[in-house]
Amino acid sequence: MSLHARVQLSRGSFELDVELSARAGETICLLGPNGSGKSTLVEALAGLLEIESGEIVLDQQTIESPRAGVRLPPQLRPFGVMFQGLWLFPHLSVLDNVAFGPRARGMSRSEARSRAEPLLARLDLERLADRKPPALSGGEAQRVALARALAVEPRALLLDEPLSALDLEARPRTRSLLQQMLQAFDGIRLVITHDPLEALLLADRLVILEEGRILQSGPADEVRRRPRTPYVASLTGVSLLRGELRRKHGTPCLFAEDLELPLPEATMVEGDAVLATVAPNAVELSTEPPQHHQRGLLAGEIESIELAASHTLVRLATRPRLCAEVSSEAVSRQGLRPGLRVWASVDGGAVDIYPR
Amino acid sequence: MSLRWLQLLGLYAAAALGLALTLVPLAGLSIRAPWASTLELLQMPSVRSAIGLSFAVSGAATLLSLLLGFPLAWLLARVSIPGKRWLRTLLTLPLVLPPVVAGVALLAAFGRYGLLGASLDAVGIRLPFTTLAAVLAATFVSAPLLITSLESALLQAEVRLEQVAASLGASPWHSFWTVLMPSIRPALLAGLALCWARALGEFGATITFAGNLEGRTQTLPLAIYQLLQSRPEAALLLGALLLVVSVLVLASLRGHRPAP
Repeated sequence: MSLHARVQLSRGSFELDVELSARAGETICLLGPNGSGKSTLVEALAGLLEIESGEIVLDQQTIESPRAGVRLPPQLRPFGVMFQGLWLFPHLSVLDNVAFGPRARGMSRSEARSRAEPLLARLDLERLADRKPPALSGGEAQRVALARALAVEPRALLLDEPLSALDLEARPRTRSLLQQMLQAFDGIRLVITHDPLEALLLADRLVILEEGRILQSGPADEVRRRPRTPYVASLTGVSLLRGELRRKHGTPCLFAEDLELPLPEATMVEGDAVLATVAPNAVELSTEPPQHHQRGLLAGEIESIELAASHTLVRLATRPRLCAEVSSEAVSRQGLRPGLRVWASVDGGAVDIYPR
Repeated sequence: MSLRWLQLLGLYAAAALGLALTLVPLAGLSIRAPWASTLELLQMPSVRSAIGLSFAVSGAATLLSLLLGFPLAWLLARVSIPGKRWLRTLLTLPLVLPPVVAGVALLAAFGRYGLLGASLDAVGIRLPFTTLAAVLAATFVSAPLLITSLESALLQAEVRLEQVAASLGASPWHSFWTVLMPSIRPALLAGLALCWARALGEFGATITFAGNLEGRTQTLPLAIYQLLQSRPEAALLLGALLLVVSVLVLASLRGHRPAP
């Protein structure tokens, strides 16, 4: 089973242009900042928004294709959708919410309920069967919405921000339940989120969406290790450099904007355009120009300082932009503050380089 | 006495006067009505026909308001059309129009010499002074109450829930009855109750457009008006009975009264 979607549409000044392929048995996470078009894509797949060009094909069945004049209405699409905000039917009990889909597709009341009951059991909702949604907690409502989407026995699951309704404490437990349910679902699984941690934990394959375009996609691990845009790099906290490899005085160097970074002798140099990631702990800060020149040097102002439990991240308005990890003690000892001019030295041996 | 006390006293006095203006006539009606002769009165043929006719006319007007009003409310709430503000104003105009003017307007449209009178005459339809005319008059003045109530309910109903229903396989029809209906039901019932009460009490447009013909167009308010000249105590009693009906309607709204 496979889903192929090429979705092009515009809403006001926003344009969405996305091509996506998914196979049964893999979880695809669509990750992007707010306003990147994730929910718009779900609405288009679900048939709530009309696509202007492109096509949506599930196996051999064309679900929507403006060129072929095909557009299945939402109620005929074999998708199980969990919308952002969940949208449970407030006047129906938990059981009838879950039984709604089967009932709408023509089952009798008792048949629909007997379809819903095993799902309630699997999602630990049995004792809530008679409750109305306003009396549910965030985690309970989330599980009901998931059960409701699964009850129509869809060929593809589309989950839009499935964990966003939860407070932070409830997330890990519900996330592992979601993980189990996803694993047990043998159709196509598309999860949309703006939370990188959620995406990295759930995804087999990551698709990064920004401003209506796919910027990067691939196996989750590869996307994480080999970011291609600053946004993706920022998800794991590394700095991304775009530059070229050249020799200078016989030493291999990475040139990226103002940075001239000497690399270990063994580095292969072919005048290549490359990307490189720099982990925050490979960047050292000093308030005086440092003397050792075997490291790459950059001067610039501190843009912001973020405190974490064990360390502090300092973002620098250098070219290229860097992020350095310093000890919390060093912040006060060196008097680091936004706007202060500092020197950053980068350890060439700790940089990960890959083709552009 | 301080100024503050005087102000407060003035406030209470004015409020008491306002309350009295509502309460004293209602009390007068309830106290002066010859309740003991209720049964005797209900056996008068003219009263019986007026009661029957009133329920038939107001019921038909409410049904007609629903059939014509629902599509209009839907259009106002859910469809983007040009000039919607003007349409909304136009549709609520009968609420503020003097009922007798509504009657004259209906005559000017459907009367023998009205806009459509000749065409209707040609196909053998004469509206004025028929029961149908009474229904039209009642519908004209009462439908806006149902339309405004339905429109605000449709505006408040979450379209997203209907989209969710569709994504779960519900046809628009199924989703209408299982998702939209439960959410607008209170407003619909309230609108129907207000509409029916207004139709039941309709006087000015009816007497102008439909006349005051016993058994054909003489509804309860018209019968009361006539009885006031011949048998005032009967008018009082019928009035008190309508007051009871009004109280029942208000009680049935139970806080669901929609904002006008």
